[in-house]
Amino acid sequence: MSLTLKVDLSPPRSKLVIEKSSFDDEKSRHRKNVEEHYFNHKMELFIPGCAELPPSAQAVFDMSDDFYIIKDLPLTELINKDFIENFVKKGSLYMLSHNTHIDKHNVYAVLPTGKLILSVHKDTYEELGLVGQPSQFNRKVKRKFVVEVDLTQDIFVPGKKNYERVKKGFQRTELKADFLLSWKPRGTRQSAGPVLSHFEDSYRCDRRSQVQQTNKHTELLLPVVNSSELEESDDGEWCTAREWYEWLGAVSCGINCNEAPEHYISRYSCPKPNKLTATAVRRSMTGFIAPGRVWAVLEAVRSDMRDNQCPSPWAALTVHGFADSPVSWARREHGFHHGGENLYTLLIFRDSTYWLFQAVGTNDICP
Amino acid sequence: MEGDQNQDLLYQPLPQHISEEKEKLGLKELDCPKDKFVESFLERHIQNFKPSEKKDLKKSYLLLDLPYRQKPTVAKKKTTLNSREKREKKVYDIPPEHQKYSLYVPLHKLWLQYIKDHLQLTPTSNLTLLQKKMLKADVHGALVTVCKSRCPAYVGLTGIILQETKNVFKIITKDDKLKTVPKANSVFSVEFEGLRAKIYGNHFCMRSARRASKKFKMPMKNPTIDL
Repeated sequence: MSLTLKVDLSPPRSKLVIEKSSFDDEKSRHRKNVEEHYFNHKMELFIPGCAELPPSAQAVFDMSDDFYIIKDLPLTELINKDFIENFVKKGSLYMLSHNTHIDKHNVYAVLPTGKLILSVHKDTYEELGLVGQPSQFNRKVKRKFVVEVDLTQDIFVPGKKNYERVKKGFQRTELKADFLLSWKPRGTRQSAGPVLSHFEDSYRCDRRSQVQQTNKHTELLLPVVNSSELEESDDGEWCTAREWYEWLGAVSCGINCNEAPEHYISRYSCPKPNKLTATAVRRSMTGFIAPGRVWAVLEAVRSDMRDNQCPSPWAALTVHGFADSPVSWARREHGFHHGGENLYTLLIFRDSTYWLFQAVGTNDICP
Repeated sequence: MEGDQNQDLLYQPLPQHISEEKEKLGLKELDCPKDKFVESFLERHIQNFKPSEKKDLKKSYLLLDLPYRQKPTVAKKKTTLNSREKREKKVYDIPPEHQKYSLYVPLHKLWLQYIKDHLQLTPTSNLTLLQKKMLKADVHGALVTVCKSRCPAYVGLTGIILQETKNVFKIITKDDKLKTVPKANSVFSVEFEGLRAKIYGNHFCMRSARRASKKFKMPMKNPTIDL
């Protein structure tokens, strides 16, 4: 008897959503898009035509924005009454389990809305005893379950049935993980110090800063884009949005697009029509970035464009999410199939209009 | 008496006045076997008698002197109730007055004694032998906890087993609540004498009486412990 191996050769079903709008439009969703993408891993700003970042953007990047890694934190600590009162309910708390793969291990996250999301394996779910939904991906084989615990509810206090049940479930399963933690208290006066002192006594805490990197390009070919047209032009006067996005990805990866298509290493070339620019700057920040920081960078770039501090026709801000995050935007479930990408790019034009590209992988809900 | 008379008549020889006139009446002694006589008789007297029908002749001889009388069948009276009657009469239901946890704590103590004797627990007892004995043990009165279940609502239930049926445990919890927990797709844990036994409900779905006599194949090849 011979065994037949079924190989799935179909391409991964990634999704890309492109929309154009204006910042001044009331119905514009750019704010919601930035603020609801809770867990950001990398932020990259690309400005052609400038040798250095314009001043406001530079200031935002220079602001220190550290996050903490807490090792071996049991989940029972996350439902600690003091913890909820002092940190979850006051300000925005972002927590994500570190070094846990969404398709293999249990992943835990605390959203700034006060919800604790547990994406657990079937065995853990059966022992945990908390009601949840099976994962929306791979529905036929129920391997992963998503449990949501609302920490901000008034009835979620020690002594009440629901709280005790959650606590017993965590104690029975003895779940623990390393966590990335970032806390933005309400009001800008407070620092994030108190949250560190809360955990420092019992658990190993590490303070990390975002890793910054600057790349300068010289003599770069830029595709010509028309801010009001996403699709192909009849006369070939501008590039399509897709072509531009692909080119931006190549630049971010460091691929030289100036070469002719017959080059040995890379056949990729800058889409036509294109223009030559003398310099371009690309600044990236990698770590655990809160949405507030992304918003600050966006506003800084917009103000720089208004004040004519940077002479470029457009700027591109790309934000990558975590491959192992349980949510992509807001409460949409995120998974890892061939890849775990969930990223967005804002192409900001001088006339206060923008293009928004949202890209997700196979195991993701279309944004 | 009449039967005897008839019998006498049957087996009596022919009366004298007939036996003397045999040649005149055309009566002859039978010179062939009885079967052949019957066949030839039938051939002569039945129209269109087919030879194949001879084979269908049943060679059964009716004994006329011992007539067969059928005994009238007496219906056997059933002494047990069927399940519909049981449910109507609520034979196995536990009334609310009896649903108090404190009432069953002595039962649990009794069970602990029973299990100690049944398993012959010593500090050095072999665990695999204990396993085999435990499979045949009665669990009524054991303090059981659902530690894993495909349905998360059952997880964490703790109580004393009051009844065990084919598919279900009826447990009374500390809050005086009678809970019916299906055995399927659940893992139960029983604690006694410093030992904890895990019962995989999927393999336990049978009546307790039947389980005592069933041979569980060890090691279990086909059944899995995945819920």
